[in-house]
Amino acid sequence: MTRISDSRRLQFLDQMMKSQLSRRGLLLGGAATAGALAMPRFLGAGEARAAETIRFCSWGGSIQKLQREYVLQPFTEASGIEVVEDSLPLSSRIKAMVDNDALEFDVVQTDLLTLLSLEQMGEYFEPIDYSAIAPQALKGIPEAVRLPKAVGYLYWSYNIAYRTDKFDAAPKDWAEVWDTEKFPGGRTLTSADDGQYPNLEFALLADGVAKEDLYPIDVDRAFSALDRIKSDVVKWWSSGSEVVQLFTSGEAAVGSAYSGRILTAKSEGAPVDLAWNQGQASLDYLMIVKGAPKDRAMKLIDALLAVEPSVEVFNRYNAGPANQDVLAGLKEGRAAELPSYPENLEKMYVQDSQWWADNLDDIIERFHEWTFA
Amino acid sequence: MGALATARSARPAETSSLWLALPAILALGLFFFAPLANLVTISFSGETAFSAYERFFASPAATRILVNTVLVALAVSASCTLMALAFALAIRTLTPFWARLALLSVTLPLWISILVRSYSWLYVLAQEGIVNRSLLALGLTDQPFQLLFNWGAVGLGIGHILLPYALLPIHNAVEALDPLLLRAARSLGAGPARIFFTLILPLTARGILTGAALVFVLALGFYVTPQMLGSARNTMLAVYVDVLVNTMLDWPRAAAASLVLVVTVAAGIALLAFAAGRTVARLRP
Repeated sequence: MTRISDSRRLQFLDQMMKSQLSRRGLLLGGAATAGALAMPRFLGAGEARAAETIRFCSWGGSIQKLQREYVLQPFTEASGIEVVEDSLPLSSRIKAMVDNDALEFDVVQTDLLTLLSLEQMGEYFEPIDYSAIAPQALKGIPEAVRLPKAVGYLYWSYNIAYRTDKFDAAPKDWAEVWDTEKFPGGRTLTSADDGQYPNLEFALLADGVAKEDLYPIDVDRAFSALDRIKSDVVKWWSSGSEVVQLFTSGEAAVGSAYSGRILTAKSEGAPVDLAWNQGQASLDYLMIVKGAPKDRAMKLIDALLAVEPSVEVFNRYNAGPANQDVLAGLKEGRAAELPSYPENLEKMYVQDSQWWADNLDDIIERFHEWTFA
Repeated sequence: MGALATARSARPAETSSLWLALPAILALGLFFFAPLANLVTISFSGETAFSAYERFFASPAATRILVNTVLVALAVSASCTLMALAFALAIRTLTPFWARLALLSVTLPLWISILVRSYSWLYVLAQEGIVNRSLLALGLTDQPFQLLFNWGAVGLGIGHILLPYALLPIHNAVEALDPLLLRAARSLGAGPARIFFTLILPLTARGILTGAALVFVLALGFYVTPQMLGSARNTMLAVYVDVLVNTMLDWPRAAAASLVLVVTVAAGIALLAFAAGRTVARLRP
């Protein structure tokens, strides 16, 4: 059994601390904002300046740094429109902003589940004006991800992740992840806390359901499959930094994780790897929050989707561009590492976000009850 | 303390200085009572006035989480209080320099963020962490223990953070003990147990209960520590409120859950204050 050196472990701890701190900092910021929302809007400064600004909310960390360098700053130089950045577009924040008519950001990069759960409660997003996107950028984006209120931007995924130093062979599907004799060691799967939702699909795949037949999810069957692995799950994880820490600290030997996080840890020398087979692909879309200035928002979306800058971003960031031309333009060997590479994508299924939007509350509630059973 | 208050209230200027409390009252009103009132409004804004509360109490998960939260807070409060009392009595026997150093070493962690301290436990208790590696190296075990992600780890993490809150009031009470009384008791033939139960305990009861109440109340609202050191079955109420706010977007129920916590805290304080009054009255020699 090889051990990760202390310096490397500390490096991971450090990374996790940073991301946790920013998350908590943001929650505190959110509380301050809630206070500000209650105040009358006598501050005119924001509106006077609004003529030449657009606000963009992404996920912080390396993705936003790359977007800033390759997209946002060049966009400001070319158009004169200043981009005000924000991070972590939680659905609760979008709901609070729109309900109180006090937007904190205009353009947002997030998943379909956020859009669908919010639109069940009312109108929270503006339609996308596809005529405002350059045709050369649009042509590589599949029709299937050009939705009325969201345009497909990048693929991220949940995959089988494992410690390469603990097993002779790699687990190739979820049935093997459930096989604790062949692959002994701690397990980790997603929790129902902190914005996360349980990996019911993986439980069904482990139980022998084909990936084409996952939806609508047979919830009872999924939970009884989870019953079988429950006592081996050392921790139900919620954040990407946390799951990397579980693997690098040796708590978990195999389980589910975000592909991007595992790829980054692997490239930094951690003994971890992933299997694309039976992974769950999800898409982040670009959307415009209800009430945002549509013209400027579309200009920013157009800039974010442009092929050349996107190639720079995805050469460095471990997520798959939804745009086929961006994928084709990446440096040699790069595309095959990413979830949107056709061969990888074929091995996965795409989350049915509508099913989750319809059932999320019940599943979260049931998961919490189930943990006590 | 009582004598001081009596002396002060004898001064005629006392009442006119009440306005000095005004900034504090204003700040509390603006930043505590107003948002709290807002929270009450939100909690009654479900489909029917009480639906948020009905759904909260109808959910086996929510009620279980509430009970667990109270039990953890009680356990942490009891163990912190005992440790703090033992510690306070122990450092009484030290010279002032060493006593101050010992006290400082316990209160110093107050300056380190909760996040960092909770995080350190991950490193200490991990499968490949310090404790397990030492045990393996010493040959005391051949398999690492699963020390993380259970109530033990959560309680340890919370207790580590809250110990100074128990220690400070208890230390104050213990410091105020008159050494002559203890010496007199000893010279009259009282054993250590008798001295502890008939002298030390009654005289420090108020400090002990204050420490216990502080730790209990603070432990009820923990978020980061159970999230990091526990697993799904160690969910505490603050974590559940976050799920209601951010994942389920059920704000009336989140407000109801928060108010249930506020009421639990208030009830806890009231109970302890009552107990403190009774205990002090009963135990005072």
